Amino acid sequence: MLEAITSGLTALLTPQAMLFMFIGVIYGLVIGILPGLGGVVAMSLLLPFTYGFETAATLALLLGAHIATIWGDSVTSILFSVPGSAKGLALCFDGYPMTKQGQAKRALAASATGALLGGIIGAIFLALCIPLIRPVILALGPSEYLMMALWGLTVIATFSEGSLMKGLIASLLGVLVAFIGMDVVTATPRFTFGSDFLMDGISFPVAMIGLFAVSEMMKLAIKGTPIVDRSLVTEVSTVWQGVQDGFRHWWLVVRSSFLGLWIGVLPGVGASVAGLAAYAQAMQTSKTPERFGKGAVEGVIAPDATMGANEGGGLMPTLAFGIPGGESMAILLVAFIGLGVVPGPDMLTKNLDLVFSMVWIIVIGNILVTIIGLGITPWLARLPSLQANLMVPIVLSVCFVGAFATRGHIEDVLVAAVFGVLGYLMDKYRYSRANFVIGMVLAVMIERNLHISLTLYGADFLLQRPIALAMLVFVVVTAALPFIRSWRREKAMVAGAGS
Amino acid sequence: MKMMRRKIVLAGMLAPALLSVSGRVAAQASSFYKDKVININVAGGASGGHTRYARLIQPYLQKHTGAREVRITLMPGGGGLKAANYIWRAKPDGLNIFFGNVSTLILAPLAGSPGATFDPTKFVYLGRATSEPRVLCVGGKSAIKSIQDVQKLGRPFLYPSQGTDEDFYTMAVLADALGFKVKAVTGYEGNADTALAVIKGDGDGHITGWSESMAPIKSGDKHPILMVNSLRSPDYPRIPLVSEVAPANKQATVRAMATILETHRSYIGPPGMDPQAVAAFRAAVTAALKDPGLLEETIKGNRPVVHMEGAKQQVLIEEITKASASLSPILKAAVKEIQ
Amino acid sequence: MMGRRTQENVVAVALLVLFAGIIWLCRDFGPRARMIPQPLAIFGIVLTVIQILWQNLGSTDALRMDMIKVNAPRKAGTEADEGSVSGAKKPNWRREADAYGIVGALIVLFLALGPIPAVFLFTWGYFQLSGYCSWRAGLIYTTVLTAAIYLLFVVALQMQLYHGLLAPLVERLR
Repeated sequence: MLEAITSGLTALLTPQAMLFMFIGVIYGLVIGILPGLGGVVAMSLLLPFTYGFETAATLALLLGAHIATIWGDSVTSILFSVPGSAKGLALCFDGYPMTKQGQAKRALAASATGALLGGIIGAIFLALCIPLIRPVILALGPSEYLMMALWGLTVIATFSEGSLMKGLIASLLGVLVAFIGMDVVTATPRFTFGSDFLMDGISFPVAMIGLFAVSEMMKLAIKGTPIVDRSLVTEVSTVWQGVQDGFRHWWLVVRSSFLGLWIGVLPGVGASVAGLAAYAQAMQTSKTPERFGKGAVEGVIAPDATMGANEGGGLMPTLAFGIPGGESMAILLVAFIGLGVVPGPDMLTKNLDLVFSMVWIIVIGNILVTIIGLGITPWLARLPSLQANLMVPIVLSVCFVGAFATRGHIEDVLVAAVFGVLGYLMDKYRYSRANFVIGMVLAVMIERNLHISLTLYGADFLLQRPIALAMLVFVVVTAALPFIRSWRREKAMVAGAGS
Repeated sequence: MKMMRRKIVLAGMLAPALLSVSGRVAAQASSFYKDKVININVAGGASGGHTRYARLIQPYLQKHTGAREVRITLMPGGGGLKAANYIWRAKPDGLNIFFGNVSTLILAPLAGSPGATFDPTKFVYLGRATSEPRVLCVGGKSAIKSIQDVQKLGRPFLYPSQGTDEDFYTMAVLADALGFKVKAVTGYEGNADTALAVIKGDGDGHITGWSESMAPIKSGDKHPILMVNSLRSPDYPRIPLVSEVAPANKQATVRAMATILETHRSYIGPPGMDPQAVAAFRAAVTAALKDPGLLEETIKGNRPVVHMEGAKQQVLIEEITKASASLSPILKAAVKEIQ
Repeated sequence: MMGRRTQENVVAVALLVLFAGIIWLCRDFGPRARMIPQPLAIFGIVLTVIQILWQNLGSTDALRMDMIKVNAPRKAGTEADEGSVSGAKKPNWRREADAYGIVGALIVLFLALGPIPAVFLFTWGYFQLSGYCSWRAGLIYTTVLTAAIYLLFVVALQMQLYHGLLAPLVERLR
């Protein structure tokens, strides 16, 4: 074991491997920052260049790039409320308010620290947990995934300030938008109006570019002042504060990392769900949930820690079964085949040093991203104070090109514009955009797993799946908790006023 | 010196390919694409297998067509239907070619799938790049050990599937031919998810490409019981073929299905494509796929090519048309079942 | 201009129409395909009707209040940081129309000319019309931006360019 750990590291310490890791990380940061593009794109574009190099170097390039996109995605979410890809969404909720309050540096640093710690925890548990993975994966099925998605829905209440009705309507709209396209479960095209383009559905990153980035730029054009007006709000935070935040909330980081590991292990659950679940978890377990959505640093740390750990989690089933834990892991599997590495139980005996190489790649890659990230944070933090008339055309241009680049369909640019207007109107009339997106992410997961559960176990599937039933009870309790708390508080206030 | 030898080898490889088409056409064929730009419309995204194969073959195709450029345009969407619809309406000048999974193209209209606006038998088949046997596997711990066990199961065979892909249709044809009932459980998130369902025992079994199931079969997580192919696998010669277990009156249907699946990743052109272009492109595909440079790359990258001549494909496709009358109701009934 | 309550009602009625349309479209689907969308759309109608009743029967002030206060009552200060709150500095309708126009102009340029020329023209035009900088400085900024986008997306990311609706027309004229 110890030998595998050291030989895994030495395989990485060749000039080629180190150079590839560095290239991968820089490349991943750039891709991550571009709107609409995330880790999957980064890896798939690198794939053709990976044949004929050292195994460790190839993996360093691919995994390094993928790791770097996590923080890259977060950057634009925090600074401009422009989610780089589906993963970065949760960072908009609290990261952007922090920027507006002059705490951009702190938010960026906290996010990088969260990702670093999550990544390291994920890597360590990847190494420790491999023997335990099989029973865990085998115990969970569609009914349990369904409950996880329902749990994600409980966040809706948080973003429904203004009117719970409006909040629910917004998430319903998101759910219904997600149903546009070919329903693979029943081979029925839904709401496509005979269009080839709509058959593939509304692309999630494109919709987010519209809802958040385009509509924020419209608001900025209307306001005519920078996102952060330095004459009103000065940058009050430091990078060091953010780093400290990451370590201070260590228990949150650990919890979020385990959540990320777990989600990574499940092949049917994507990274966009991971971010939302992390956010829900951070809020539900917080003593002061009312701070969330208004610039709570925990809302920045938790999603990043989860995303960081998700990496290690996704590798586990990929290595242990040859079953990819997600889309990006499927690409890694292609690279494995190209390298002649056959995943499966053999990995844990014959190729253990390779497994440890990957553990080291995750650790070193994360450290590299954090060092670079913290280094450029002071410059990045200045961007939101740029003049609106400079910002609007540049960000809009990049966003539209990004929307086009996600799938190469010109229609997607139109979708981004339509969702931009929709996002602007929703914001104006206070139908929560966050709820819309949550509905959109979770809709398909809920529908699919409900159908599978019903077909496999029948209408009483909950009685046959005790874990799912326990999870449902947990979901109901956590969803009701804020209401009960608020009711108690109001009662106490009334009592206080009466006495 | 090395270059010389290579060229001689090349000429040797090229000769039979060129001879396979009539001499007169061949003479024009070699120059048909000279200085032209060929558009290969790949039915897949940047990370997909089709794209990787298209890019792998691209330089060799350029070399053997003599074209100024072989341009790869990615056209993902609708499970290949978008690219197919596009090529169906493209100018038949030989400059617009489709590359992707042709099996799904043939199956979609047969199953009455909305969105398929073409007749797959009217396309011009230009040559196959890859094919792999499809294999029906059950879970390693399943009580089912053979296809005969499935036939006497006494309850529907639970088949987890992501949706109406080619494997879903294959399963419907198998059930009809071998006389057992299938209950398709659709909604899974891709083959990784269905594999897990089978390993766990949530489902009885699923169909995948051979390479995809290799690792779990080796580790004992999955157990192969049937192959949909025209030849037995040299690695696992004991796995029976569908055609061996199907009754005589179902042979035509089963063979048609195997033929459809064996079309796999192919180059196809629009209906009525210029005959000179057809000859030239078919010859170029043959030459490209036998190019030693390409073969070296396929071995290095572990991406095998399994070539079939376009002309031979065309003959096989004609046969499918005859069998489609029996296939179509089976596929349509399977789709109806899940709606 | 319409009052806030009228605007809210217009939005709510539009939502009602949308949900009704979804229910209508669901008729054609099989029972499994409509199992989730249809009840959700009905639920949407119920919610919207409650919202309409609420916003018309409640006081104007209540429009901004939570129906059920889920979390602790807001502190007075936090309300102001959201620029979108209706009580904040009201953007006049001209500025709003401009914002729609900006998005509209960019989309028209994209569709007509393809991404790269559209980015160039849009950015340069924006700088000029907003008077952000001189035309010369604008030209430099714009060129740098366009080149950067080209290098990143087209060269590095191998994005296939869309040539716009105009390109085929021009070719035909030639």
